[in-house]
Amino acid sequence: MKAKVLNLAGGAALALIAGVVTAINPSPAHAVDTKNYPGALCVRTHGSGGTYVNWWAGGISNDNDNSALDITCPVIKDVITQGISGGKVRVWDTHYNQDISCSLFSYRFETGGHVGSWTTATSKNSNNTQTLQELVFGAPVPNTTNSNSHYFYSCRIPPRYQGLASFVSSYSVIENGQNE
Amino acid sequence: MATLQAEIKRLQGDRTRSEQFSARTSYELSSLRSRLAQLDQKQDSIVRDLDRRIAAGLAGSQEAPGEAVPELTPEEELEREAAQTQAQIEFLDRSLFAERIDPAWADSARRALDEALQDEKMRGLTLVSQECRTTLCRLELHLDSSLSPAQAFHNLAQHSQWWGAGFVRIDEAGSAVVYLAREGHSLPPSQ
Repeated sequence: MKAKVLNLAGGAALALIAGVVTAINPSPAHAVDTKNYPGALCVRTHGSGGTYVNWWAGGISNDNDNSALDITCPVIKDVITQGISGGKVRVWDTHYNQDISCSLFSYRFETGGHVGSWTTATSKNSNNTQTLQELVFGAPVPNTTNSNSHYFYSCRIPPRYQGLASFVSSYSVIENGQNE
Repeated sequence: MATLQAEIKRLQGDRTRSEQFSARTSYELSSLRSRLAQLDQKQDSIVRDLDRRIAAGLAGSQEAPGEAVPELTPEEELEREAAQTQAQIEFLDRSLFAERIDPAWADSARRALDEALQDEKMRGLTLVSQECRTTLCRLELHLDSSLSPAQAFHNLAQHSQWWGAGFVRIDEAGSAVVYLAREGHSLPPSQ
C-alpha cells in the first residue's frame, strides 16, 4: 500500500516536472531557426555604383566619396515551407544625412510568373562609426514562401562622409520551424 | 478672373474624378480577367481530378469518411499557389479601395513613382494604371519584350526609390502588378 502511495506521489511529481519542462521548452510548432551571417557574404548588385570593399572583419563597406553601393546578401533556407518571421541587419552609418536602407525579400517562381514580397528598414542618421545600429525586420507580407522560394537582403550603403565609410557588418534571418 | 479660376478649379476636380473612375474601371476589368483565368484553372483542375478518379476506379463512389485526400500533382500544386497569389492580390485590392484618399500623400507618392519610372534604368516598363490612397499604392505595369520578369523585378526593387514594404507579381505575358506600402506601414496581412 505504501509503495502504491509512493508510486502515485512519484507519478504526480513526474507530471509536475513534465508540465514545467513543457512550459519552459517551446513546442516544436513554435521552434525557430535563427542564423547570423557575416556582411562579407553580400555581393555587389548588378548595375550598382560605389566601391565594394570586403574587410577582414567580415563587413562590407562603400569606399566611394560620391556614389551609393547596392549589395545583395544571400540567406540559407533550411525550413522549406514555413516562412520567416523577420531578421536584423547590423550596420555602421557614418553619413550625416544619407541612411543605410535594407529590404528583406522573399521571392519565388510560379506558374507563368514571379512573385516577391519585401519589407524594409533604414538606419538613423549618424556620423559616429562607434555606434552599431540594428535594422529590425518583420516578415515580408504576404507570405510567398514555398518549396521554390528563396530569401535575401538588398541594402544600399551611402558614400563616404569626411573619409569615413559606412558598413554592413552582419545580418540574420529567423526561419519559422526547424529543419525539414 | 475669379470666374475663370473657379472654372479651372472645377475642371481640375472633374479631371481627378475622371482619373479615379478610370483607375477603378481598370481595376475591375483586371479583376474580372483574373477571375476568368481562375475559373479556367479550376475547371481544368476538376477535369484532371475526375480523370484521375475514373482511372483509379473511384468514379461514382463516395469517399469514405476519413479517407485520405489524393495528393496534389506538381502541376496542381503550382496551380494552387497561383490561385493563392491571385487571392492575395484580390485581398490587397480590397484593402486599397477600402482606404480613403489622403490627397497630400497620394499626390506626392504618385509623383515620386512617376519620376522613378521615367528613370533610364526603368526602361522597358510602362505604367498602365496607378492608384494611391492613404497607406497603399497599386501600380499596373507593362513589360516590353526586352525585359525578362527577373530583370523587371530587379529594376523595380532597386530603382523605384521606394523605401517601404511591397509585393509584386510579374507574369510571363509581360504584365506586372505592384503594391507598395507607405513608409512606416506594412502591407495588410492576408486573412
